[in-house]
Amino acid sequence: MNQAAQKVWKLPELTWNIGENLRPPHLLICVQVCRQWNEIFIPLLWRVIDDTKYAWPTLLKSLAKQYPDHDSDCLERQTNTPNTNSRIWIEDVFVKYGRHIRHLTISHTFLNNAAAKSGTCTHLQSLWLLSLWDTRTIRVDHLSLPSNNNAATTAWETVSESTGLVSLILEGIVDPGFPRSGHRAKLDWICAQWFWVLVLQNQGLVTLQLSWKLQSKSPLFSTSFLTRVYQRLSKSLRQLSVHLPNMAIPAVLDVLPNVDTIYWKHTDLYSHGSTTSQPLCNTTVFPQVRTAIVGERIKASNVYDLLRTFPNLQQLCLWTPIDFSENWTLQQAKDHLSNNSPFHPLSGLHFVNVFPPGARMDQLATHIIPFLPHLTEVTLNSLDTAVATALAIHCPGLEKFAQIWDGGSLHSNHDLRFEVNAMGILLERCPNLKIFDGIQHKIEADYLAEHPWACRRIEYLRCQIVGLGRLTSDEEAIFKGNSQEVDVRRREETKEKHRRCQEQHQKVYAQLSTLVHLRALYLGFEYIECWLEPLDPTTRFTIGGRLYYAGNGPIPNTLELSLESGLDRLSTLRRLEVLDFEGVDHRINEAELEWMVNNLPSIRVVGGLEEFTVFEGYEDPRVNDLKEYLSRLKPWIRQEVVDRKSAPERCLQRYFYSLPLPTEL
Amino acid sequence: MTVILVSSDNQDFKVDKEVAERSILIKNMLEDVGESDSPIPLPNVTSAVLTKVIEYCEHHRNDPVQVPEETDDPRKRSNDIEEWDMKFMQVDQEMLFEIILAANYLDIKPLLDVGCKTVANIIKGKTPEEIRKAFNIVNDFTPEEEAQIKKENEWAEDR
Repeated sequence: MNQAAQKVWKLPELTWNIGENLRPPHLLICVQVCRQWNEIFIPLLWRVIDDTKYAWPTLLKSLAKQYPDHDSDCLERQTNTPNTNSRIWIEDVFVKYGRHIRHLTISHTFLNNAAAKSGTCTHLQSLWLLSLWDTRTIRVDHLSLPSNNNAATTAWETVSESTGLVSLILEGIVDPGFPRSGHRAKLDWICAQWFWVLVLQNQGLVTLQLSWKLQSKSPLFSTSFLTRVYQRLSKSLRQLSVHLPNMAIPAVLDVLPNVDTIYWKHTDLYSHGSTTSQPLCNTTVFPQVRTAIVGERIKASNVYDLLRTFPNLQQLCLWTPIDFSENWTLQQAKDHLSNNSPFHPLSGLHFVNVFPPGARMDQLATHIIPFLPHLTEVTLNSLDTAVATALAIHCPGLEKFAQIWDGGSLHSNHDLRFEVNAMGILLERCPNLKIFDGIQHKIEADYLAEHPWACRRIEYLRCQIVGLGRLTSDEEAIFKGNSQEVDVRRREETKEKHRRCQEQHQKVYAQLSTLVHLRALYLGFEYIECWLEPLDPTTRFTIGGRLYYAGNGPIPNTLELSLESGLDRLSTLRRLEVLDFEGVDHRINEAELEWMVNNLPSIRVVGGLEEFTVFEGYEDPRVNDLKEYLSRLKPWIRQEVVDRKSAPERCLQRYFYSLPLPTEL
Repeated sequence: MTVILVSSDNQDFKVDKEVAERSILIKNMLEDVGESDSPIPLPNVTSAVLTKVIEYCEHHRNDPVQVPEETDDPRKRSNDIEEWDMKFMQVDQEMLFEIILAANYLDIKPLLDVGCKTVANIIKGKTPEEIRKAFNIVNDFTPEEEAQIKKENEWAEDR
């Protein structure tokens, strides 16, 4: 190895930087290279463990098959035979490597138990319990008889003796009488308690997720136990995701003064089962809370409660649409919000789930948005005129709008049918808008031409521009003189249609060309998850010499994006990095690609040359030629391929699991 | 305005201040010293490496100062290296690691990142044996140890 390399491998900040560009499968190779590399890369490989990823699911599944009753077996071994050689491999590796783990995500009992038993996973910064899978079937559980309390108690005594970690504080806090067999109850009880052992071994935890699964494994009936666990974490814990019904959120926050991000579900913030909401937090306020995610049904009055309880809240994410059935007047809302000023400094309002049909949100515009003048980010199912207008009037700082879900497809049978042109209101009236991410939102070319945009600072635009009068294949032939059509009137009509189409294009390009800060422009989207009819020859059709299938062809009446139509007007977009026209009925050919690489100096991603087709065996040779042409022109430009999972996954990543991981070196 | 940088082998390099200030170390030094013509000694960087580093800084003189990526679109986040940088990094391994060390010493974060990405790209897709060959590393594991390490970390396989 050369000298410089030796020096680099000895500097942890440099090896860290190199390692950050490698995924676990690469790191796995690195640790086998030599002793020095093993020492360097093992901490990186083990830094984040998530048992839903890589080979974990397969390995855990086969373990569970191999040791269907491993937990009890192991327990007996611990008490009866001191022979540790009989431990299964997962326990050994946790003993060996557990100290490197900083972020642990658990979904399987084996991993849960092994991590806790090892006693080495004591440097965790985040601990996410997603689930606690094991081998059993649910049916057996439900059929089994109520438990034998003695068996469970004995089991716990054994565990507490052998670990000595939490000793008696767990005594009597779990309800072992949950209906299942005594044996099962025992295993579940052990498993849940191993989890608590793990929590208590990590008093530096910054992020903790307590899954509902804990409750179904072994229902806690002791609030004081939870309080004591929280107390142990009170210094470090900043993000808590709690899906347990035992404690009301204000009580939780009382013990956890540093928690600024809280996500709750199944809790007692609102009185259970009662039809009228309970303004629980009449006097208490929690100024430290910045982010709240609410996983349960919420009424307008609950929203007002929340805003009052968390006066410095920055981000509010709601899993369900707000229920406005209480029909409050504006005055009632104002009175409820505050005695002094009803306005709240909230900057982000996000709805996490797609609303079911009939979820009425009309009052969002009148009863919520006017109280939130500092909103900069909004995530919503769809924009309608009322909401868009309210945002434009009340939230002058609005920077970002995002649609929750991209939908299955943009094709007319499957699209989400949002109000056309409502998005225009934001573009015309929000000068600070930087991101508009709503591919199911449509704006018509003629509307767009008449309404100049104010969003001159926009960097990311993802929407459909529709309503362009495009020539059909026949008309194109007539126009180009390739047709036998002799009817003069028909020819004149075609000419006129072409002229109008060109004019529309020019106006659209003119608007787009003013967006000089634009970094990403997505005009289409071709993800199809809908079930389409089996291949039927009558569903094939041709546009511009290209063969398509119904429901999977180009989206009609969209931009041509040809030089002839005026594409070169977009040469003002000097910062454009991403141009995506997936599914758009474009006329991009060699000349257009050449123009792009020569006139858009920042371009590095082009999407849309590869179109997803649900029918196997069909390939459009034209498209492949263009792909090759582009990669010959500029090999470093990435050509995006449609990823079946891309849309919902993007959404999931962005909103469901967006609690950031703390970083450290 | 120009500044003079002196490499470890005592060669002078006259560069625009704007270019030299791509290095946070030099930028801070200049700020501390104030207006001064005195040359800046860089005892950790040879002239061969300094030539390359200056070439990089010249090319990137107008880049915006790097801010931490705050993009929530995974499609935009990438390990891509832009074309010019990729060509720039096509050097022998000694030089590649020298550039990384120099970028670290001079505190030129974007150059450091590109260097580290280049090393990572060399690693990717190789077997342990191929990596040893690429970096001229001697395998000091016994076959049993190697097998055990592989087994213990099997979970990290892509499946």
